[in-house]
Amino acid sequence: MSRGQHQRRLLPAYLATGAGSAPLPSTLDTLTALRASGVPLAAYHTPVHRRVVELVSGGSLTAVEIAAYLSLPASVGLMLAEQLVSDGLLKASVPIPDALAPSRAGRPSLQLMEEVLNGLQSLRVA
Amino acid sequence: MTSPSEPALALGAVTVVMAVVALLLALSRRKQVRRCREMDAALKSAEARKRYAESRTQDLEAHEERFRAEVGHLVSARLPALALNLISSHHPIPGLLQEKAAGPEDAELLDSVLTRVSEIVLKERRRVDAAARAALRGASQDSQALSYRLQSELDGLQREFTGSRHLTHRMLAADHLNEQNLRLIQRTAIVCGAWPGHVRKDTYVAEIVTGASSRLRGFDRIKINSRIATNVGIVGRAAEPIAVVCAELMANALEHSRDDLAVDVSLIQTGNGNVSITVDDAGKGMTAEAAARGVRLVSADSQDVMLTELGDPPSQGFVAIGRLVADYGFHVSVDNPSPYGGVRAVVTIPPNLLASIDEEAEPPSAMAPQPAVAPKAERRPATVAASVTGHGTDPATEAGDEKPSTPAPDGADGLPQRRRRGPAATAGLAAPTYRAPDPERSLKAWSEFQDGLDSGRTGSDSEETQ
Repeated sequence: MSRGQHQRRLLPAYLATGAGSAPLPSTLDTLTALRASGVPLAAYHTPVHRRVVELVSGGSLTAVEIAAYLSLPASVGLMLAEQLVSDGLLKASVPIPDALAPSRAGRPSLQLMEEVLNGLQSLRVA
Repeated sequence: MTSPSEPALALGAVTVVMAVVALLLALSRRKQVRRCREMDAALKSAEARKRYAESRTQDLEAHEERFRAEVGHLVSARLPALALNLISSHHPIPGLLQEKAAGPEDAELLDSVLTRVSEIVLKERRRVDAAARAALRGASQDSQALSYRLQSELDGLQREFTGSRHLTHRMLAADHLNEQNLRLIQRTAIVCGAWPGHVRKDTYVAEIVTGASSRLRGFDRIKINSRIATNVGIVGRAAEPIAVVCAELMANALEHSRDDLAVDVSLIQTGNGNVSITVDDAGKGMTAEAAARGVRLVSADSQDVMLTELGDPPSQGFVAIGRLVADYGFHVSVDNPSPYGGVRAVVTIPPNLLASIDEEAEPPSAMAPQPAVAPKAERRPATVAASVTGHGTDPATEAGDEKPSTPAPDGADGLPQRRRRGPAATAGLAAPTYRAPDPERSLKAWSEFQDGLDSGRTGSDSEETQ
């Protein structure tokens, strides 16, 4: 029925995330950087989970990049990342644009950071 | 002239007359006797004929009686039994009521009725079945085409959409439902004589098996272990048929084993170049009868299985497999026990249906399982992304392509290394963590932390003062 340049899909995207899991709340952004935490994979992880962990085990990648490497939809890449973050296999860092914007609301103020530093220094002296 | 001799003469004359009369009487009597005898004989033969006629009439009446009884038996017992026998051959057809008494012509005549009726019934059955198949095939193929369009829509939607995770989840669920539906429709179409529906390009075996598993409910329970080289693929024309066959065998395995048991699928390449896909379940196994039926259905010579032979509920899987086996020339065996006592189904793909695929030009999908031996480490080369972990002090000293088998001692300024079996890292900042507390290292780390903060503060201070 479909002959020609368009090839019928063989591997659907839901294979990547696994069927049984309930959807997690959206916690990550497409540009969130992800790194492997070193926690080993469990038996219920799919080969795609393994590939994601392998991809980010050398350094960090954003969720979209991971999806692109695995030629998956970006939304599925995000789902995978959220699953792995909630399983503790990946660590998420703040997206770069946030890091470059120090005045962004919700980030700790300089005073707070100084207080933390003072506290740490006092700990070190003691 | 009247003389005393006259009385003598008269007497003589009388005597003569008497003699003549006596002679005549004697003659007549003889004639009478002869006639009597003749009549006797005639009477006897007439009686004999009568007896003969009577016995013949009796014979004929008896024969007619028997024949009538045989015809009655034919109508009341043998024809219904023939109808049952045509449905299932283990219904016996009774013979004549009196095998020996019936003449050979009668037996032949009566048996020819059965032969003729069975010919007519079978011909008519094939005609009706062909009509039903054609109708079902047409409907299934239309439905299949629509399902493929729905698949394309859902796939496109998934690729365009990056919104709420809940919605993504439901889109994936809809996609899965459509795939299950597609499998059922495609199977029905194949049972009714259609082709699988599309030609693929040469496809990796592992991808085909994984793709087949995705068409089933409960595909999470299917564990695929590949022990073949990654570049082994199946030629395009046989790719979809083998996917259909694998999906059916795995569906049987899932259906006949408990919900918490895995179905083991292993891919191996045998010494003679065949690729074998083995599906093991831990179900109850098949009865000898079911196994024999399965073997018959999945063999290449079970081409013309009719819809009426599928049973209720119809067992379409094996019939679909049998048709594909006959059309494409691979082999399926279903009569071996699995190591767990269930059924082991094996698909054997001969070398003429295999192809070698260039892994550089067409890398295998991430969703296909990687082989257990000699995994190809597909690592990303050191990229810019490594330096953007949100920690400005991380220099991009990337580990090489090899996987670190043991965690390398982290330099305080090095990138965090992957630790496969290390303890869970403490949550929090992206700072490297250590396996065991080491005072020297702690001191070094904290002082660098402080340096980092200092530099950050001076940087932001200078920005602020500017």
